[in-house]
Amino acid sequence: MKTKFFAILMLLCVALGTGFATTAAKPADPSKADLLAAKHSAAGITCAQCHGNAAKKQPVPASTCATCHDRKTLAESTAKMNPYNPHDNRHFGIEGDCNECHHQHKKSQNRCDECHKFNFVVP
Amino acid sequence: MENEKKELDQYTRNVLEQGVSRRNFLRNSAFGAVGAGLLSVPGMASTAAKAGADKKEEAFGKSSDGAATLPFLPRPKPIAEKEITATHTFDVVVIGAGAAGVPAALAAAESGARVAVIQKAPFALSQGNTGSGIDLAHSEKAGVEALVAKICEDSSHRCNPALIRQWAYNSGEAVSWVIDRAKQGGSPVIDQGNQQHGDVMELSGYKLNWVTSFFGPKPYTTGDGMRHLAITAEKAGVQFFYNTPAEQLVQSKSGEVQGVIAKDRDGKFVRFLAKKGVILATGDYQNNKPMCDYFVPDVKNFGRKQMGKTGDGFVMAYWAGGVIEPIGHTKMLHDFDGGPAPMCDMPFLSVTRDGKRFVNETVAMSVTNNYLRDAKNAGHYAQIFDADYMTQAQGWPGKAIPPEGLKNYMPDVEGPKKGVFPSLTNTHVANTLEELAGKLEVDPVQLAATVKRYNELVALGKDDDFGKPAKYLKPVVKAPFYGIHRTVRVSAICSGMLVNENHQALDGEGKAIRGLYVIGNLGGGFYGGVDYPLTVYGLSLGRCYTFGYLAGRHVAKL
Repeated sequence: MKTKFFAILMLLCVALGTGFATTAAKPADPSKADLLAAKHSAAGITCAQCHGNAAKKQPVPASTCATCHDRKTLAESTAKMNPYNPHDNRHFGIEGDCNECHHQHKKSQNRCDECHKFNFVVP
Repeated sequence: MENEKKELDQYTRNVLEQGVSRRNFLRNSAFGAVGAGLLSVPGMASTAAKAGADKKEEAFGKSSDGAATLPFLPRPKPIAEKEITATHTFDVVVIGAGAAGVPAALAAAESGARVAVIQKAPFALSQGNTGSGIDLAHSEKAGVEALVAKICEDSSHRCNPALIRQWAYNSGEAVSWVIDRAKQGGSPVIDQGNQQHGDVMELSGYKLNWVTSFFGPKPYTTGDGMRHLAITAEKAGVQFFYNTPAEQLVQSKSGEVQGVIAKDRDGKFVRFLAKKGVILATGDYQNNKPMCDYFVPDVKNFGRKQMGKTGDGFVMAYWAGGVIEPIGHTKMLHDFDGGPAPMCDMPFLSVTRDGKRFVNETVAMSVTNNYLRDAKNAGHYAQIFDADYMTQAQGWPGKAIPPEGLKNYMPDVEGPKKGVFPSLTNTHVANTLEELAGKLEVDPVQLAATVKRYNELVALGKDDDFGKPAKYLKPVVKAPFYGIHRTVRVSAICSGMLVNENHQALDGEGKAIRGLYVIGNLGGGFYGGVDYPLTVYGLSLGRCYTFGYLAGRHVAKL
């Protein structure tokens, strides 16, 4: 499942990278190479594409994530995860806040496990 | 005004005096300034201090004595007219699509009103399975009154008895109506009648019968039920706006609440005007840490069962002039998922994570949390019994589930689970106490010592340690050994805004705020004890349905 996740992510990144021939973000700190921000950056996504151009960088709402990661498509891609689909759940349907689990500049977390035991691998 | 005030009941007067409201802050800080000697001319104190107070409260609400700034009550930021991208006009606007809001919206629509529901989440939400009402046609009035008295007692007599009576005399009709309308929306809801009320029916000796909606079994819950009820509501003309969090109320200079400004899913401001009234049904604030720390610090270390319950309605109602019940809010903690619900109050040996006995086990699960407030235990404990529990527990409160049924609650037993949330089950069986301790995450050495001591007390026939009645002292000696690891977490906090019997919010002077109604767990006056009582299963949802039903009809007919 993890592999599939990354495959989808990389596909999206490649697609976006070719679409946006803008300046990529500065090279990430090697210790942060595994973080999602680095992966976005490697795919050519600039800081401003998510954070906007304001001098003070703004937090990124889930609606921004959804401009690339279509919620329905994403939910379908994880439909067979066990024991439940994290992207179509009884708390939020397909409208969960991505930022609750998926972090860009720090390690992602599995928030489901605060109450459940789902053992999801969160990229 | 003074005359009006004298007619208020003592519950309402107390909340007016002690509760958190803008008026209380202004009044008390004026007195406080005099006491602190900030002003030397007594005659000038009130006005001057009030002016200062006005200035100081600009950013946040204040505690009732004015001494503390309350960061969980941010003053609404002005929204310029040009920022509002659309305005919709309805008769009634309900904020919050839960077990109170959805019934309120449908009841209002059935009474002829044009109704909108705005909801922060992407769909209607609720929790639990059971909602209870009294079948008045088949109950004696003395029985109803005896139950009212019992519920008041369970709330340490700190609730508003008028609201308890309102539930008692209207809940049968309201719950029947919810069942009927939810079925129309496709819900498999059933009326369980008296099935869950055996214990409470024997309280007074008077006749009492029940209407009990059961949205279940799990994983189907009242959340699914309210989504089915919302289908019926949509057919009745109610318009639902999901992903649309309310930001602030629209209020006239005279104080009348005229609508609400919300954010749509694109982050744009949309105004919903309500010609007859706004009904706030946004639920509790368990996920708002500073608010919990202030009003109910006892819940600091407990897990939360819900998400997104940030107390938005409290902020809106406070700035509209409403009064929040004073510190010492009622909390609801239980765990019906780790093991069977009917065994939660059975007085089996119970131990903490340290493996120590901690209470006379006749103490009900609904209040056990008070012994487990520390960061280490944080609501965790284990009920322990041996192979003979089915015979040992005969005649005990609740109902023992046979070993075959217990497997349904055992995460280590393979096979499909029915009627439970599999990821929350936490019941175990083992051939030795040591193995059981491992599965229960209890200190094994201490558990062995505790069981040894407990068996000594059983042999003695007297509980010298905690005074549990001898009839509940049964040995834990015969394998296999069973344990239920219960984790009580916060289901709800059920204290709220001061309302009258029309569920209309009152201001700090006890006057009804025109256009503002409050129901569900955001509504005050229905509880008052340290903990939500589990005397009447389904009281909480029954109250939400009943007050939603009544308030919806009332506002629609204005």
